[in-house]
Amino acid sequence: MDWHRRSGLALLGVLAFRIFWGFAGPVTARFGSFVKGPRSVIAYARSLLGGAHRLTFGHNPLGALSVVAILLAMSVQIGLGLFALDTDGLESGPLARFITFEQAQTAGDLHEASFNILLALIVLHLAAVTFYLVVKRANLIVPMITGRRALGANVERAAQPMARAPFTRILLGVALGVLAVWLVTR
Amino acid sequence: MNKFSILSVLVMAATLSACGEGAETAAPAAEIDPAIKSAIETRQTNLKDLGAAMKTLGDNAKSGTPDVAAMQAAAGKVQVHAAAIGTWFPAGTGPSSGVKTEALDTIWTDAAGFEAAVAKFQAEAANITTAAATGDAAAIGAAIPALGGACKNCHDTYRLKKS
Repeated sequence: MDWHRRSGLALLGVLAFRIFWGFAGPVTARFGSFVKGPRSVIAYARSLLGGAHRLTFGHNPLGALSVVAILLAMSVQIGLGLFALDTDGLESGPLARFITFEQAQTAGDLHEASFNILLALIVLHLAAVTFYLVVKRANLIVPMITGRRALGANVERAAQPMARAPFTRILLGVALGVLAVWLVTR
Repeated sequence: MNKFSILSVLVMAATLSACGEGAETAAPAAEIDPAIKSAIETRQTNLKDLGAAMKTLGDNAKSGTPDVAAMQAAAGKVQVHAAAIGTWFPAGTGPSSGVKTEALDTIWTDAAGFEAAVAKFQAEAANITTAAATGDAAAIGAAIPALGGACKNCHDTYRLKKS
C-alpha cells in the first residue's frame, strides 16, 4: 500500500506538471496547438488509411484525442484515490478525512472501477504507437523525448520556428508538481 | 426484405428474449425468514459502524491535531461491538440464507477457528480501550495497527474476497 500511495502521489505531481506544460511549454506541448476539431480528426484518420499520410509536426489530431482522454482518466483515477477508503476503514487516501466513511468507500469503489477505463486507454495508446512504428515506419517516441526529428518528404514542416521553453519554466512546472503533492499531504 | 426490416426484426427478437431472461432471474422460490434477514442487516450495519470507528481512529492518528475525545468515543464503539460480535452469526445467516452477505460458510464449518479470530479481536479491542483511558492520542494511535490486523485476520479467512 505504501508503494501504491507513493506512486499515486508521484503521478499527481506528473499530472500537475503536464497540465501546466500544456499551457506554458514549447509549441508542440501546448494543448492549443494540437487539439483540433472533428473535421481535422476525420481528415487525418482518412489520410492514415488512404496513403497520402504525412507525419504531423508535433501530436497529430488523433493522438490529441488520446492525450485528452488519458489526462482526464488519470485526473479521475488520482482524484478518487485521494479520497478513497478500503472496506475495513484502515487504509485511506490523504484527503479521505474530509468526507464520511460511506463517501470514502464509494470513492474507493469508483477508484477501482475507473482503473479499467484507464487501462483500456493505455493499451489502445500503446497499440497506436506500435502501429506507427511497424506499419508507418515512424518512431513517435524518440522525437518526443529529444525534441528532434529528421525531416523527410512525408513530414510536415513547422508553421513557425521551434524554440525550447526557457529552463526557468521547467523549474516552475516541477515546483507546481511538488506543490500539488505537498498540498494534499500536509 | 430490405436491410431496415431485417434490422427491425433483429431488434424485436433481442428485446423479446431480454424479457424472457428477466423471468429466470426472479426472486428465489423460498420465503426468507424475517428474523434471519434482520439479523444479517443488523450485523452489516454494526460492521459498517465499526469501519467508521476505524476511520475516525485512523484519521485522527494521522492528523497533526488529533481530537482525543473523538478517538475515545471511537474506541468505545470498538469495545461495545467487539463484546457483541460473537452473537452476530447465528446459524442460517450465511450465504445460503438468501440474503446478500459476505459471510462465508467457514464461519460455521470452522467454528473453532472463527471463535479464535473473535477472541483475538476482543483482545485488541481491550488494548485500545486501555490506551483510550490514558487520554493520550499517541498511545491510542499506537494501538491501531494491531487492531486493524485483528480485523484483517478474521476477514482474510471468513469474509468473501472482493474480486
